[in-house]
Amino acid sequence: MNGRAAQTSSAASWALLALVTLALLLVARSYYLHDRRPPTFDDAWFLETSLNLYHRLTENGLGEFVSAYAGSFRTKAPLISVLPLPFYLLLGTRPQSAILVNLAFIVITNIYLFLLARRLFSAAAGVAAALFYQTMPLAYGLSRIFLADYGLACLTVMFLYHLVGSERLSRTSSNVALGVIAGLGLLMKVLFPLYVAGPLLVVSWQASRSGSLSWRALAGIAVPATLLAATWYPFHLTEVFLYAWQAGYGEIGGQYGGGLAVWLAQVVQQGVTPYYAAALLICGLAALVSGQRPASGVVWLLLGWIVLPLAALAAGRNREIRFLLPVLPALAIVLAGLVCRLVRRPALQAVALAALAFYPLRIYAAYSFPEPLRARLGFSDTDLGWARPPDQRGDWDQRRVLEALEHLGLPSLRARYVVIGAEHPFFNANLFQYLNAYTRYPFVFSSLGYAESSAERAVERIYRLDTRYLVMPDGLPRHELAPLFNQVNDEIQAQLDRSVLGFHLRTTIALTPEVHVGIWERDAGWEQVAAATPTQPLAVDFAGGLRLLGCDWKRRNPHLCEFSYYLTAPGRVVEDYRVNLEFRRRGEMLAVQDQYVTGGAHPPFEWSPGEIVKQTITVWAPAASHDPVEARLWLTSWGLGDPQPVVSPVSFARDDVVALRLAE
Amino acid sequence: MTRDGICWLALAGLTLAQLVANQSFVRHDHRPPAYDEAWYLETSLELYHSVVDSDWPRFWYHYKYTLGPKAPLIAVLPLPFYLLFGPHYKPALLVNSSLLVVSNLFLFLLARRLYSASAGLLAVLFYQTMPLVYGLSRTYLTEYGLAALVLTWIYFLVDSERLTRNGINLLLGLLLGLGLLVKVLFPAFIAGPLLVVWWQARRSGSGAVTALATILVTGLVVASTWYASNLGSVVQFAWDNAYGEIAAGYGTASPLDRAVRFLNEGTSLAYAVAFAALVPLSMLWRCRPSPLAAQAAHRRRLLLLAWFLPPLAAIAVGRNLEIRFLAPLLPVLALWLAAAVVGVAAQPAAVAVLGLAVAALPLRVYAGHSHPALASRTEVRLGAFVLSGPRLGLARVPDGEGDWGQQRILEALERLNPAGLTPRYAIVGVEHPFLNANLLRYLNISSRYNWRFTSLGYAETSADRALERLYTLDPYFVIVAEGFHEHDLPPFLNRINADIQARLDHSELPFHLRAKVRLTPEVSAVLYEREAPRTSFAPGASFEPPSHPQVADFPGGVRLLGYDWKRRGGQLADLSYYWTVPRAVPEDYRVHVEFTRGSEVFLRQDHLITSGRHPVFEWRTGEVVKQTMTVYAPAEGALEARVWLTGWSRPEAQAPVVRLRLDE
Repeated sequence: MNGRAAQTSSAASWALLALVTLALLLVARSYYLHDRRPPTFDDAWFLETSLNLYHRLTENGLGEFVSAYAGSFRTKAPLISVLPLPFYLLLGTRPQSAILVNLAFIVITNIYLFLLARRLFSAAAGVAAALFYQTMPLAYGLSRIFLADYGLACLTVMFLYHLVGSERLSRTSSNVALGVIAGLGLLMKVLFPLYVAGPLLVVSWQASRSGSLSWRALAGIAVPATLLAATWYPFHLTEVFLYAWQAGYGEIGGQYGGGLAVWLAQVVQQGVTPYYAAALLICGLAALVSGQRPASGVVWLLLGWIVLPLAALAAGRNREIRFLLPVLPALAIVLAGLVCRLVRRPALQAVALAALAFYPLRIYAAYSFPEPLRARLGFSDTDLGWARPPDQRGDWDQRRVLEALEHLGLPSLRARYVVIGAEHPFFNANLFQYLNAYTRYPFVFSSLGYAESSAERAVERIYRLDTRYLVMPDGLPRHELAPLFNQVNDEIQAQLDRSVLGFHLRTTIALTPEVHVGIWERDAGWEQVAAATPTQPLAVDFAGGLRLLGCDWKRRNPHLCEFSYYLTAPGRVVEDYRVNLEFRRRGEMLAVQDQYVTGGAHPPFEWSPGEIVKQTITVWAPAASHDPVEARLWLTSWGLGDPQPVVSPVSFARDDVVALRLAE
Repeated sequence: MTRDGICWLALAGLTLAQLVANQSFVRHDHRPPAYDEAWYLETSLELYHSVVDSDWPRFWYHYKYTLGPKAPLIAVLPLPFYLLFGPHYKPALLVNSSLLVVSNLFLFLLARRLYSASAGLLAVLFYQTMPLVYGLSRTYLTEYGLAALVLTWIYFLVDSERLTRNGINLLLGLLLGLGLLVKVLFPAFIAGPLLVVWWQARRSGSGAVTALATILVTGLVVASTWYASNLGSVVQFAWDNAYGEIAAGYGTASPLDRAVRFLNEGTSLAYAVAFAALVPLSMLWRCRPSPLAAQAAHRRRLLLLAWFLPPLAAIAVGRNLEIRFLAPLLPVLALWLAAAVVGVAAQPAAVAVLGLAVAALPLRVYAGHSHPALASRTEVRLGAFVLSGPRLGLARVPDGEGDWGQQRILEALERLNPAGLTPRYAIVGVEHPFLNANLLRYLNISSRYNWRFTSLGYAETSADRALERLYTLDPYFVIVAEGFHEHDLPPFLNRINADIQARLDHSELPFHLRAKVRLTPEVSAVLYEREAPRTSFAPGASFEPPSHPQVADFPGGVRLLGYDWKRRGGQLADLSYYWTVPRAVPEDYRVHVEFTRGSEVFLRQDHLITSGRHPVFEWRTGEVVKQTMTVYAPAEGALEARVWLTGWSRPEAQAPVVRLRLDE
C-alpha cells in the first residue's frame, strides 16, 4: 500500500470507529432514557459514595474530601466513586451525570482497543475488535450499570496498549503511563493486576531477552503506580485483600458459586454470545490449519492476557461472570485479527467482519431498546445475564418512604438507623442509602444482615444498631426475592405483628397496588404524670428552667432495657430542649441518642408550671453482663450548642452533664 | 545579596508576618459577620451553591441581581476558597489574604519604579499598618479589594510606557472591568492618572486613542456582565450613598471632624505627624536634580496628585461620613511618606532606623489589634486625636463577644414551623451587630433552610409603613430582641422597634408569642409566630359548617369540605379550610395555595395541613379539621385561591387544583 492509500485507509478506519462509537453512545443514551430501574445493591453503593464524596468536597473542602476518600468503602477500591465528581460539578448530581462516566469509558475503550488491535494486526481489525467487544452482552450489559468492571476493562485495554507501545519497556513515557494506569487500575479494583500480570510478564521476559529490561524501566512503572495506589490502600490493605480472597475463594465467593461447566456455559451464553464463541473457535482452527498464525510475540501477549485471569477465576468459587469482562477485549482482538489474517482482500475482509457482527448486533438491539423489539426479533430470554432491555418497572417513587420517615418525628442530631426488612432489586437498604444521599436526612439504612439466616441474630442486630425505624415491605413477588438474602424477613415480620420487638406500626405506604410498606417505629413513649416516682430520685435544675426529677432503669427483654426520665418545669420555660444521652458499660458505648423532650410533641415552652413529663426509651444492653450501665444526660437548647448549665446541685455542675449509674 | 534582593526578602517576610497577624486576628475574633459583610457572604454562598448544584441559570441570576445595587465580584471571589476549604466564613477571608499579597507586591513594584526598592518596602509597611487598611483586610467588604485593584491598575499604567504596550493596555482594560465589578467607584480612583498618562502619550505622539479604546472597550465588556442589567439602579444608589439620603443616614459632621476621623481611623495620627514633618523636610533636603530627573519627578508628582486629589475632593464634598471609601488613596500617602523617609535619611541603615521609628507606634497598635494578649484596653488621646485604643474605626482588638449561638434561632424556627417549598419570611425587629436580618440570612444560607429574613425596613421611621411592607411578605415569624440596652443599638436603624413591640404586646398584630432563644443570660430573641389556629372535630361531632361549602376529593384520600373567607380589618383576611378524611390516610399532606387577583399571582403559600402538629395519618376517619390562615389581601378586584395538595410522593403526582372564590 502506498503512502496516500495508507493515509486514506487510516482516515476511513478512524471515521468508521467514530461512527461505531457515536452509534454506541446514542444507543446508550436511549437506554438510559427508557430504563426506569433504580440503582440497587453495589451500584447504589457506588453512587451513594460518589454523592457523599461530592458533598464532602463542596461543603467541607479538599481536606475533608481527601479524608473521606481515604476512608471510603474499606473493602472496595474507591476510584469508581470519584470519577463522577467532575460531571456532578458540571451537570449537577443527577444519576444521569454519573452514568456519563461509562459513556466516557465507551469512547476511551474504543479508541484504545482500536489502537491496540491496529498495532497488533491492522486498522480494520481495530475497528472490528471495538465493534465485537462492544456487542458482547457482558460488555454492553455492564456499560449500563454503575459498577467498576466496565472501567476496569477500559483501563486494562489502555494498559495493554501502552505495554505494547513501550517497545519492550524501553520508552520511559510509556512506562510512566503504564504506572499511572496501573495505579488507577488498582484504585478501580484490587483485581487489576490479575489482568495485566500475564502480558507484563511476557513483555518483561521479551525485554530481558533483548537486554532492554532495566530497573529504571520497572521503577518507571512501579513508582507512579505505588504513589497512586497509596492514596487509599495503606488504610485498608488487610481488609481489602481479605475481602478479595473471601470473594474469590472463600465463603462470600461460595454464595455466588456454581459448577464450572455452568459457569463456562454462562460465559459463552451471557458473556460473549455463542456466535462469537463459535466464530472464535472456527477462525482459530482455520488459522492453525492454514498457518496464518500471528507472530509469536502477539500470541504470547494475548495468551497472557486471557489465560491467567481465566485460570484464576475458574479455580475460584465465585461464579460471577462479570469478573471476566477485562478479558473480553482480548477475545475481540483475537477474533478480529484472525479474520483479517484469513481474509486478506480488503473488500472481502470488510464483508466478513460485518457479517460476523450482524447476528450479535441483532442481539444487541434486542437488549438495548424497550420490550416489544426483543420479542419481535425472536429472543425468548428476558435477559442475558447483565444485559437486559430497558425496564419499565422499578420506579415506585421509593423516595416517599424517606419523606415519610422524615415526617414521622423530629430529626435527631445524630443519624439513626433504619433497617429495611427485604432485599429486592427495587427495595433494599443500598437503594435507600443512595436516595438518602440526595435528601440527606439523618438516617443510615441497613439490611437485616448480609444473607442472614438467623432471626435471633437479626433481632440482635436491630437492637445493636439502635434502630429507630423498621421498614417492612409486603406484597413483593416471592420469585423476585433472592432466597439467600431474604431468609429471616418473615420471622421478623411475625415478631413485629406479635409486638415483641419493641416497635409499633406508625404508617403504611402503598408503593404499588400490590406492594405496601409498613413503617415501624421504636417504642419511645412519653406521658404526663401527676407525680414523679422514679426509682432513682434526683433534683437537678438546668439553667433554662427544666428540672430532672429522676430516672428508672428496667429490663424489658434479654437484649433491651427501658430508661425513663422525669422532667418538670417549676416555672415558665421559654425554650425547647434536646435531651442527649450516652449509655456505656465498662467503657464500651452501648447507645448514643438525642431527641427533643417528648419527641417534640409537647415542647416545654407549652408546659404549665409544675407539669411532670415521663419519657421512656429503650436501650440495647444485653443481660449477659452484670456490670452496671452508666448514662450521661445533658440538654441543649434548640438542639444545638453547649450543654445547658446545671445550676443545682453544684455537685452536678461539672461539664453540665448528669452522670447516672443504672443498676437493674 | 544586592540591596534589591534584600528588599524582596524583607517584603516576603513582611507579607508573611502580616498574613500571620491577620490569621491571629481571625482566630481570636468571635464576632459574626453583620450587615453588608453578611450580605456579601450570603450572596457568595448562594453563588457557590448554584455552582455545586450545577444550576447555572440560578448562578447567573444571583450574580446579576442578589446584591441589588452593589457590584458582585466580591461575592464571586471566595468560590475557589470554598471549594478548597469549605464554604465558611474563614475561607472567605482568605480572599483578603490573597489581596494582601497582591497589594504588597504591586505597591512595592510601583514604589520601586517611582522611587526605590527601599521606598517600596517602607510604603508597604506604612500602608498595611494604617488602621483603615488592616481593619478592612479583616472584614469582608469591597474596599480592600478595590484598593488592591487600584494599586495594581496604577502599576500597570506606569508599566505601559505611556500606553504603548498593547498587552498591558489589554490587561488594564481587564482590570478596569474587574474594578468596576468590585465597586462602581473604581473609575473615580483611576481616571486622574489615566488622563495624565493619556495626555503625556498624546504629547509624545504614541497611539493614545487606540490604547484608550482598548482599555475602555475591554473594561466595559467585562463590566457589562453585571452593569448591563443594573446600570440605572447602581448609579442612583451610588449617588444617594455619596450625596443623598442614604449618606445622610450615616450622620453629619463638619469637614474638620471628618478630617480628624480620617487621621485617627484612616492613616493613624503617627503617620500623619510624620508625613507633616518629613515630606516638607525631604523637599528642602533634596539636592538640585538633573533636568532629566526633574522631569521624571514632575511626571511622578502629576500622577500621584491625579490619583489622590480628584477622589478626595469628590468624597470631601459628599455627605457620607464613612471613611472606608478613602482606602484606595492611602497607598499614595504611604508612597509619599516612604519617599520622604528615604529622601531624608539617604543611607540604607538610616532609612531603616527612621522608617521603623516612623512606624513604631502604628506597629504597636497593629500588634494590639492582632492578638488579644498584646491589646491595650485603654484609649490614649491628644485632644480630639487618638494615638491608640482598642478600636480605631474598622481596626479593633479581636472580639471575644458575638458568638451567641445565633444559629439556634434558625433551629427554633425549623422546630416550630419548618419552612416549606416556598421560602418563608421572618421579620427581624432589631438591628444589632450580633443580631440582625443580614446575619440570620447568612446563617440561613449556610444551613440551607428555606427562610428569608428581612428587617423592619432600612432605617424605617414609620411603624405603619413597616407593617404594610411586612404583611406583603406574608411572614410566619416576627423576631424581636429583649435585653439589649438602648446604647447597644444604632438609633437610626432601630427607630420603630419599640412601637412594633408595643403592638405585639397589645395583640394588634396577628402574631402570638411562641418561644424564646436565650442568646446570653441577658439577651433573648423572642419569636412571635403568625396565628394559624386549628380546631379538630371528632367524627360525628357537630361544627359550624363552612360559609363556602365546596367539596373536593384529593388523590390520596383527603377531602376539602369548604372554606370561610373573612376580612379581619385593614388589608388582612382569614381563610379557613375544612378538611376531613373519609377513610384512613397513610400520608401527611402539604397544602399549596396561590392567591390570584385577575391573572396575577400575588401570594404563594405552602404548609402542612395543621402545620404538621396533627398529621393526617393520625386522623380518625370522619374527623374534621378547621385550619385558619391569615392572608394579606387588599380588597381590590376579584380574588381567587388555587389549592392543591402534595403528599410524600412527587409534587407533580398530586393534581388536581381546586379554585376557591374569595368573596365576603
